[in-house]
Amino acid sequence: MIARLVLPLLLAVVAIDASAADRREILDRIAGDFIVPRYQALADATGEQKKVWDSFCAKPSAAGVDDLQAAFHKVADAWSSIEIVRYGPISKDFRHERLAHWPERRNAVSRALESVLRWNEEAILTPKRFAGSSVAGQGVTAMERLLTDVYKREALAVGGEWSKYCALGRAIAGSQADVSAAVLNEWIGKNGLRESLATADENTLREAVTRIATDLLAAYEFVDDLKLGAIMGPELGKSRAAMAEGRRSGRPTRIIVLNLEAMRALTRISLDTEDDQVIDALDNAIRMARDLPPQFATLADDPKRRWRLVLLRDMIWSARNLSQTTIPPALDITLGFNSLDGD
Amino acid sequence: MIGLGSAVGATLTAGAGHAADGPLYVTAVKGDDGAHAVAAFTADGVVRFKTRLPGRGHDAVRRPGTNEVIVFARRPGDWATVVDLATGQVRQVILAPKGRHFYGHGAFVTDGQLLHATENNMATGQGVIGLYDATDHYRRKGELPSFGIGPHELAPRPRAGGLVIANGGIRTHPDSGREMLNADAMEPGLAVLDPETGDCRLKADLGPDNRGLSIRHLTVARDGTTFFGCQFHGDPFDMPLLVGAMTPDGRIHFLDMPDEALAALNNYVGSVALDRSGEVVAVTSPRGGTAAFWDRASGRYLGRRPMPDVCGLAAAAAPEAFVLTSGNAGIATTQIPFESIERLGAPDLSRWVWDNHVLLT
Repeated sequence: MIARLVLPLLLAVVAIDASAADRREILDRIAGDFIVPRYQALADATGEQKKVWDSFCAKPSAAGVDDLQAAFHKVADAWSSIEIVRYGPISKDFRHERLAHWPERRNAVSRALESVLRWNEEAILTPKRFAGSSVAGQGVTAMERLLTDVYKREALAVGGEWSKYCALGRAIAGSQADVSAAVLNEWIGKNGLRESLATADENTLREAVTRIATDLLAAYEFVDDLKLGAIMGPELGKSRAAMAEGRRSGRPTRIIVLNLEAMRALTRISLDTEDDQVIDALDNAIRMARDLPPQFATLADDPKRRWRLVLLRDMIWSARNLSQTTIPPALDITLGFNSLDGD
Repeated sequence: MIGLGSAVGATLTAGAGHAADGPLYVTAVKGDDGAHAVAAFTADGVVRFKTRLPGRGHDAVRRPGTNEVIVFARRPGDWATVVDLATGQVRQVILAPKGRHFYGHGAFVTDGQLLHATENNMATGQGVIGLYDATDHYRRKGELPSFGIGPHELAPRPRAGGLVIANGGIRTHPDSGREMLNADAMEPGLAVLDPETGDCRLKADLGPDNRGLSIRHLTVARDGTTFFGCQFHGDPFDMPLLVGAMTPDGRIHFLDMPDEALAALNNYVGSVALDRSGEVVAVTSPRGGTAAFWDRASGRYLGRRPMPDVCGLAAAAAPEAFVLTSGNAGIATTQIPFESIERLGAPDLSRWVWDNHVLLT
């Protein structure tokens, strides 16, 4: 059991008695300053990635592969900056699972890609058909796998097989662009969620705030326990570096940093203040995470450096505890407890 | 000890005398005032009562032939309340004896006389089944072994006989809250207790291939087959099947499902139920925000539905339909094979935080 350096809970918790107007204002802030810009960035990045794949496949080249990699990293950055949100249109049609598939269990991503590669190219490039394939083969992790494992194996072997990999890349890029555009549109388009929240009744508003706050608190568990804890292992010699999210593309630490930055931004916007202990705790955690090497798991089995990961987890743990105490009263909500604290 | 005096029993929402209107769904809930309570609502989503509890409740059981429902504290709580379904009033608070705590579930076997409650012997860590005489103010008459550690849900087996107990295999102690004290030595399994003799009629474990699984919740079909749901405490990058069946003679097999549906359960099942016809098995996963369904007879996987923070699960009025409750998305119904989830009921139902289990009375 990792020793926890829980900050003393010397909090003057500010509780409010929120009216429907207050909740509407909070949601408008969260949507306008956090959710919509980040889905816009995701839609832009996935749209660009789709174009890059289309032009690469029209004329494959070594330089073009660099463009594919760059486009992938932009999409992955955009996704890591909004993935903590599960409320809203992202929850429809298994979209969240289609954009990300981590933790990967039973080698699901590779199996999904191999399964689709058995199709003919026309089938792969039929969006409706591809959307019905395993969700594990459609997301950021799948694209990473295609650009690393498969690509390395077939490096620029421009020929019959490569054109099939190209079709798969275009299909994944197309699916990500379609999903991202649909999510954005269902937030900001006519009759979109943002518009309906503007006129929603009090219960709908309360539920929306509650769901977003639950997403925020669930993100702590996901980042702390799974993305960091399960990878570094319970003790020296028990790390699982190969399982780290983004390991193949050198992104494990970057993902943690982007997730934490997203949590900080959502916290700040929700509380409408920079002056809060949760923000301070998250700032400490972000600083500490930024100082880690790109593959943070290299520290996990090093007796002289493992403490840096332990300390990072302690910082996140502190922010998590403070959030649980601060956020529900500040937003005048009662948080759900089944997923966070079941039995 | 929790202060049990004035905190208990104020019925916050009036609604007396409605038990005869049809079945009620009874469940622990946290209101928008943050207070823990037990609430009852009708099949069409009308709240009949909401009564304050001394702390967070877990499951409830109906005493056969009466209007009494017993609501248990969540583990490791030491209280259970007897609630009158007709009025919503608390009739009595039952306390676990010194050295024991409740695990949150109870059952009656054949009639409404003896309440069986899963409990922990804190000194030894062994599970016990506390026996409470409902005809004598729920006086504790004694206890029987649960034949395992960490007993959780239990249910009588129609036709097959006996009381089947999910021994989760996880040892805890109130001094350390809910911390798992035996992570390296879990021995989960199902035991069938003969409530007359106290003997173990059969015991089935999950075998060495399923290390890390904890059986927590179950339901029993009319033919005596037990369907159970597990939580996985092993390597988070593993993904074992989580839902299984035990035949009346004790053979265990798991219900298959596609990998991506299994991944959506996120290694956690919180409730198990059968529909009204007894032909559809359903489970919920609050950690995965998913409910999943199988055909009972063939074991064929039927599909899944997303619902955030879903855990409470009970048969709906129609066959092949279920009532689902959530910590942050109210109450819904879903009908097989339709792909949708329909919201149920009045605004109160989506304002409150619904806890792990819902009982169809």
